Amino acid sequence: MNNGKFFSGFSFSIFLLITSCMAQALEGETISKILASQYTLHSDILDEDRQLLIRLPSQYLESDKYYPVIYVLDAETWFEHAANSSAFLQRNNRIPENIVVGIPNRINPPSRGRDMAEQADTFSQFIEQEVFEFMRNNFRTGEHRTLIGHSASATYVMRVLATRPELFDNYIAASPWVNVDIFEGIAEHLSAVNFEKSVYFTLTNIAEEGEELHLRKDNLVELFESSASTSLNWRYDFIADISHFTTPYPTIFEGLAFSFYDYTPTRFANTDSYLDFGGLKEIENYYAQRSRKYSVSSVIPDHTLVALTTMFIGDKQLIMAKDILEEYVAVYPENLNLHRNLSIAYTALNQPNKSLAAYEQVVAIATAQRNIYLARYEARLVELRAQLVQTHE
Amino acid sequence: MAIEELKKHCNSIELDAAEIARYRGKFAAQLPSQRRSIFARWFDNRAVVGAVVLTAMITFTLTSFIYLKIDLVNLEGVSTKLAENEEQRQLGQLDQAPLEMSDSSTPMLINIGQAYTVYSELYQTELNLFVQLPVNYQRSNSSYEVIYITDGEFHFGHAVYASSILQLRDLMPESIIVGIPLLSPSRNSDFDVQSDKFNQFISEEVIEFIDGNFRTLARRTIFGHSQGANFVLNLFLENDAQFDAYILASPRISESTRLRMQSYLEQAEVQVSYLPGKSLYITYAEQDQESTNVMQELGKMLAEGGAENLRWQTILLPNLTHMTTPYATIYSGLAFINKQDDDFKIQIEGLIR
Repeated sequence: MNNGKFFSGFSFSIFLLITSCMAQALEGETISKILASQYTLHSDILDEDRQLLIRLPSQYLESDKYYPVIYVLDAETWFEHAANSSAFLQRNNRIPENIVVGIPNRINPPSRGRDMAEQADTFSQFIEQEVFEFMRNNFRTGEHRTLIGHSASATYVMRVLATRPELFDNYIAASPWVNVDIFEGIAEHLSAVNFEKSVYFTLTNIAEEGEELHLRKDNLVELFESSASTSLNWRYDFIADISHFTTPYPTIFEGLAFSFYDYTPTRFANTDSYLDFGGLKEIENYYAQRSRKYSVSSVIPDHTLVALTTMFIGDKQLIMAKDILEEYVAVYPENLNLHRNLSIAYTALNQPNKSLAAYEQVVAIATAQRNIYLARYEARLVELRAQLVQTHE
Repeated sequence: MAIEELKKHCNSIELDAAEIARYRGKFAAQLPSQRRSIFARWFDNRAVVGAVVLTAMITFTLTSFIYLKIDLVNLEGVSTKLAENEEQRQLGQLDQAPLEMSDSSTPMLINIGQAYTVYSELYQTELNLFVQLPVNYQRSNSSYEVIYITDGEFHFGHAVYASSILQLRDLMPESIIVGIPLLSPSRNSDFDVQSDKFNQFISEEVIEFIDGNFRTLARRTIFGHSQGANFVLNLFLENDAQFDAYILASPRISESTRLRMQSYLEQAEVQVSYLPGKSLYITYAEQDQESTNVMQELGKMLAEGGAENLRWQTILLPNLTHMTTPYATIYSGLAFINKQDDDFKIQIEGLIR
């Protein structure tokens, strides 16, 4: 699938030029982006061709990693939003890099009623045996999977949780209808100690959803509250004042954030809450666990270290900052902010020689990166040198 | 019974797809014509073939630029900036999928508005303003409200998407969305230290450009996140006459800011002549710890009166962090400021029953 950077770059520039040529006089330059790629898959189970929309993480072609997969139903309507949400959350280190797969409904003739309700079990077979297979054969997909649906498709999401819970790890349902079969199916799984799933579902006002949906939801919430084991991570959110047709907007975004709760980078308001958490040892444990679940690096990420040591310096915990930084500048030699924090800590600890050495690293990195603050860093370096000369005199 | 309900939903969702195809043009419309690549379809158009021939040579030159990693879309110009803090570490780039060139796949392209190059006298620099016009703009003579998004490099794309979903469902009027980029290298400068200058830039240059070149109404909304939200809040507290609605994601509200708000809102003059018609929408995350208590106080203060003429809402977003509130906030904020009054809603429901 990877014909190399040259062709991607080449065709991309063609596309950009064409879009700019087609723009009219008073119009600005059209901003376009590549959202995903479309594939056609022939399904023997459904006996028809089906489309898949696949969005790979931006580093996919350069890496050899395996990625969690997020499956989006009603993709003709909600794929773009799911892909945008996922990208935004990835960019903020809130969820792991992942592959988003959209499964559009067959539009002509409409297949949604058949797939999501009447022959839902057949559709689950299609997903398990053909879609998963297609993904395994063509992409580096990991074993962690999320399923997202809205309305009738949300009902399907809940049905999969009830009937085939092994297929997905996270279930996100906007405005589902939890009927008796689904309710009883879910109830059966709940006592299991290792029912390690995330379930996130939402409804809006009764005027929009109807009383019946709310009653069913209440039953499910009660069931979860009374009999779910702690291994089940679930949440119901009421979304006020929007339409039944727009519940997926908040649900997909917040549902992804919720489902990947154990991916959130550790952040602390102050040193006390850091110590309450269990200190560096617990942070290391947290990232080790995260690494096992999402196949990402187990090393504490640099952004966490920058945030942590900046907080220590603010709280005047200079030795704590220094110890961590001395260890981790070796792990992240290219991270300017770590060197900078180390220099600040040394200065405060009255170790001007070491402070200067650390700041020389800052300037070296800033020079290599053509950092826009380079001048400011250089000025600070001059200052540190002058101070050192003074202390010698 | 359940099946009936499901069928009802199904119908409306199939309608969704058709509507969206008509509305957004590109996305769903591509679905049926699978096999032919988007490039093949372009070649059906002679003008395009001409354009391709004309630009083929330039293309080669530009291809080499790609190797130098020069961002051709250059939405940002900020992509070379390295962050001093977490907020600046986000690079302002389009979240783009890698382009595969396999025979079996078709790239899906979407448009998110236009970038206009504008020269700012105030900052003595060229910049890009991002503008998304309503779908029917070219076919109509109507004028439209304008929604200004600060930190446009980051938030313009999803603001366009959020508003398209809301417009599709008639939950907000058709509007023009404008993304305003940062002008100084640091957020601190535009939003705080030199906020007067940035404010002047928005009123004298940005709004003037938009009103001068497009059919606009005087009703305007402004959005900001974090320091940008504090900037927006300051506008609100300074009797700003340009905006009608203020949408804030994760502002850092200290106790003194809250007291400032309180004393401001208590002024009779403000209540009578400034607040009517204005909306204020504020979200925050649990992670915004220093703000959480103050926000609850603020909610109480607003609820207890003194701001009857102001439409307001403060909301805790439980699943989100300081950096991820903007995505949800633009959507729910636009929905909130355009929500019909409850009285009106009850009337409508009465009519339906």
